[in-house]
Amino acid sequence: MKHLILFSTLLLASLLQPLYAEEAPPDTALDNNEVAQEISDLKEQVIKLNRDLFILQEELLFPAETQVAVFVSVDSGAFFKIDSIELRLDDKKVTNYLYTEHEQQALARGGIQRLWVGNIKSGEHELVAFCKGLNNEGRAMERATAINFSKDDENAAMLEIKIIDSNADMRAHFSIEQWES
Amino acid sequence: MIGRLKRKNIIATLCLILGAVSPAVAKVKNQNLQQDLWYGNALYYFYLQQPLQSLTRLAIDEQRLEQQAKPQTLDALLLETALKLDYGMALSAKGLMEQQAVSEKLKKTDQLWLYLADVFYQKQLFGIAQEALNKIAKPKALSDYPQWLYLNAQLALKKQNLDAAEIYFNQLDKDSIYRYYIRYNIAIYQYRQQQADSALTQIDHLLEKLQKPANSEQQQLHERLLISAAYICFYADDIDRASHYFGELNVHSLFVDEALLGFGKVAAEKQQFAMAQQLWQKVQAYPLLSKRKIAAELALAELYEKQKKNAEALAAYEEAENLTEQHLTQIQQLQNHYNTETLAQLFHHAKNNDTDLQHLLKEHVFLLDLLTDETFVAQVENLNDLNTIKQQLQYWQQQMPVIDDIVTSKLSAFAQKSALAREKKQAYQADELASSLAAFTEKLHTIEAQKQVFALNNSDENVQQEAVTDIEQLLPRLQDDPFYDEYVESLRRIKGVMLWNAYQHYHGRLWQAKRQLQLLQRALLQNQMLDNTLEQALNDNQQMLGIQHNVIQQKALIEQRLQAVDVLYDKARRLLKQHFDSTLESERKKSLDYLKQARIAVARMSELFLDEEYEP
Repeated sequence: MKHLILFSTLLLASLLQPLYAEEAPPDTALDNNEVAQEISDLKEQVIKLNRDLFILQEELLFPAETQVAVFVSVDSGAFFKIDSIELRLDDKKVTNYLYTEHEQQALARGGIQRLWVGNIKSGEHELVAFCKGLNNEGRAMERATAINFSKDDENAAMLEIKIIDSNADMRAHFSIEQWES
Repeated sequence: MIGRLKRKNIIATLCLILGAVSPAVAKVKNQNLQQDLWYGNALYYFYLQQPLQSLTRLAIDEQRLEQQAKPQTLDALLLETALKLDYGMALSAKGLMEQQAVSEKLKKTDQLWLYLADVFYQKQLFGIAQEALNKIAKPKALSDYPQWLYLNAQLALKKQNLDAAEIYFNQLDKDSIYRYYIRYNIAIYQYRQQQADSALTQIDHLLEKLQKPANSEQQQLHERLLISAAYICFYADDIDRASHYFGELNVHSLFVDEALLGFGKVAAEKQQFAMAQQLWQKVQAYPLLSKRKIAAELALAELYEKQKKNAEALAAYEEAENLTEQHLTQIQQLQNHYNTETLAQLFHHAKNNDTDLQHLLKEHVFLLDLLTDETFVAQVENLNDLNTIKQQLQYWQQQMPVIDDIVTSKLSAFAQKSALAREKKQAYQADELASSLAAFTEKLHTIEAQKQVFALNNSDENVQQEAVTDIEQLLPRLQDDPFYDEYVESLRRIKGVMLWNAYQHYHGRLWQAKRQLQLLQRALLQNQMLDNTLEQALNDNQQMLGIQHNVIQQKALIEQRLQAVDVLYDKARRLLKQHFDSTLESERKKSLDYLKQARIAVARMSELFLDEEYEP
C-alpha cells in the first residue's frame, strides 16, 4: 500500500504545479524543436518559391500589357449576403462564381477576393457584374453594376466590385471602380 | 492551459486589430490603392485559413513594392508577423519585426511583441520571451497592458523573484483575471516555501472573489483553486475543511477527476473512508467511459471489500471488468480504424467542431488529454501544414509542363515573327529606297522652288521638247531659206503652246509627284517598323530564354522542396506516431492492469460467495 500513497502524493504534487509552461521530456522536446524549426525553414523557402512561381505564371499567362483583373470587396454584408457573381466583359460571360459561407465571411471581414483574371486588348471596354444574394430580410435579390473602362498597353487594368452597406437608406450599394496602377 | 494567453486568441485579437485597418475601408486618396488590393487579397486568404496562400500574396506584394522602392506598410507587416506566428514560424516572425526596425511605438506593434513573448514563453524559451517583452516601451497606462504585466510577473516568478512579481501584480486592475493567475502562482510558490497558511489565505481570498465564475476561464481557475486549497488542508490534516472544498467541486474535467481520484486514494489510506467514497463516487458519476471512471469503480470496489460489503464489492468489480473490456475494445477499434494521418486530419479539424471528432472523443475520452497537449497539437499542425505544402508543390509540378509549353510556343512564335520580318525587310531593299527617296525629295524641292514646269513633262512631251530643241538648233542654218520667217513663227507658236500645256499640267503633276514621295516615305517607315518588330522579337526572345532558364531552375527547386517535404513529413509523422502510440499503449497497459485487477478480484469475491453458500 505504501506505493499507492507514494503514487497518490506524486500525482497530487504534479497537479499542484504552478501555472507555468509544462515541461516535456528532454529527448522528445529536442526532436520536436529541431523538426519544428526545420519545418519552419522549409515554409520560408516554399513561400518564396510559391511567390516566384505565381509571378512567373502570371507573366506568361496574363502579361501586364493585356491583363485585366477583377476584385470583389464587401463592406460588412449587413444588407446583402452574396451568393454568386456573374461577370460579363464586352457582352461575353467570363465567369460565374458561387460563394461558400466561409468565403462570404472572409469578404465580410475585410478580405478582398481576386475573382477573375484575363487578357484584353488595349482600348475601351465594358464590364458588367450581376450580383445575386439575400437581403437583410432574407429575400433573394439581384443587382447589376457596370463600368466602361479603358485599358492601356502598359499596365494591368485593376477593377474592384464594391458592395457597400448604406445606413442612410438601409440598402447595399453596388459599384465597380478602376484602380490606379 | 489556464493562466496563459491562448495562442488562438492571438489570432482572434489580431483579426480585430487588422479589422481596424481593413483595406475595404481604405478610402484615403493618397494611398497606393493597388497595394490595398493585394493586402486585402492576403487578408482574404488569411480569413479562409490558408496561411500559405496569404503569406505568398504578401510576399508578391513585398517584391512589387521593392521594385518600386517603396517600404512595406505597417499593416502588411503586422499581418505577415501574425500569420507567421499562426503558421508556426515564431522565430521568423521575430526576425521580421526586428528587421523592419519599426520605430513607431504603435500599440499594434507592441501588441505583436507581446504575442511573440507569449509564444516563446509557451515554448519555454524564457530568455527570448523576456527579450521580446523588453522591446515594448513601458506603457504609460499600465492597467491598459495587463498581459504585459502578467507575463513580466510570470517570468519574475520563474526566476523566483517574488518581489518583482508583486510589483507587477500591484499594478494590475483589481478586476483583472491576470491578478488571479499571479496571486495563485505566488500562493503555490509560498506553499513550496513551507508557508502553507499564507498560501491558503491567498487562495481563500481568490475563492471569495470568484464565487460565481462568469466564464469557462474563471471556472477552470475556480476548480484549480478549490483543489489546491483542499490539497493544502488535506495534508495539514484538516479533513473537514478539505471536505468542504471538495464538496464545492461539481464539474467533470480531466484535471478535477484526476485530482479527486488521487485524493480519494490518500483519504482511504488515511482511513477517511467516507471521504474517499464521496470523492470516487463523484468520478464514477462521469457519463462517458474513461480510465478515470474505471479507476474510480475499482477503488470503490476495493473500499467496499475492505468494509466487508461483499455484494457491493463484487458488483463494482464486475462493473469495472465490464467497463475495462469495453475500453480495450475501443482502443483496439481506434488502432484498426485510424492511422496517424487520418487522426491528424481529424484533430486538425477540431477547431471547426467536426462531428466525427466529437463522436470519437465521446468514445475515447483519453484523446482529450492529447488535444490539450500543446506539443501534440503542434505536431498535428506541422503534419497538416506539410500536407498542404506538398499539395501546393504538386500543383506546381503539374503546372510546369504547361508553363514549359507556353514558353516553347512563345519562343517559336518569336522565331517565326523575326524570320518573317527579315524576309519582308529584304524585299524592301531599304538602302536603295532611302537614296532614291532623298534624290526624289531634292528634285521635287528644286522643281517647286524654281517652278520648272517642263521638269514634270511626260515622255511624249519630252520627245516633243527634244524635237523643238533640235529645230531650234537647226533654224540658224536655214536663215537663207525663203520660208525662214515662217519657220521661226511656227516654232514660237509651238513653244508657246507647249509652255501653255506645261503650265496647265504643272499643279496636277506636282501633286502626283508629291503623292509618290509620300508613298516612298511610307514604304521607308514600314521598313523602320519592321526593324523595330525585329528588334522587339529579338528582345522578347531573349527575355523568354531568360524565363525558360528560370523555369528550369524553378523545376529543380520544386523537386528539391518536394524531397525535403517528404523527409520532414516522415519525421513529423514518426514524432506524432510515437506520441500517439505511447499514449495508446499506456492507456492499453493501464486498462490491462485494471482488467487483471478486476478479474482477480471478481474471482476472489466469487470464491468467497461460493464458500459462504456451502457453509453449514
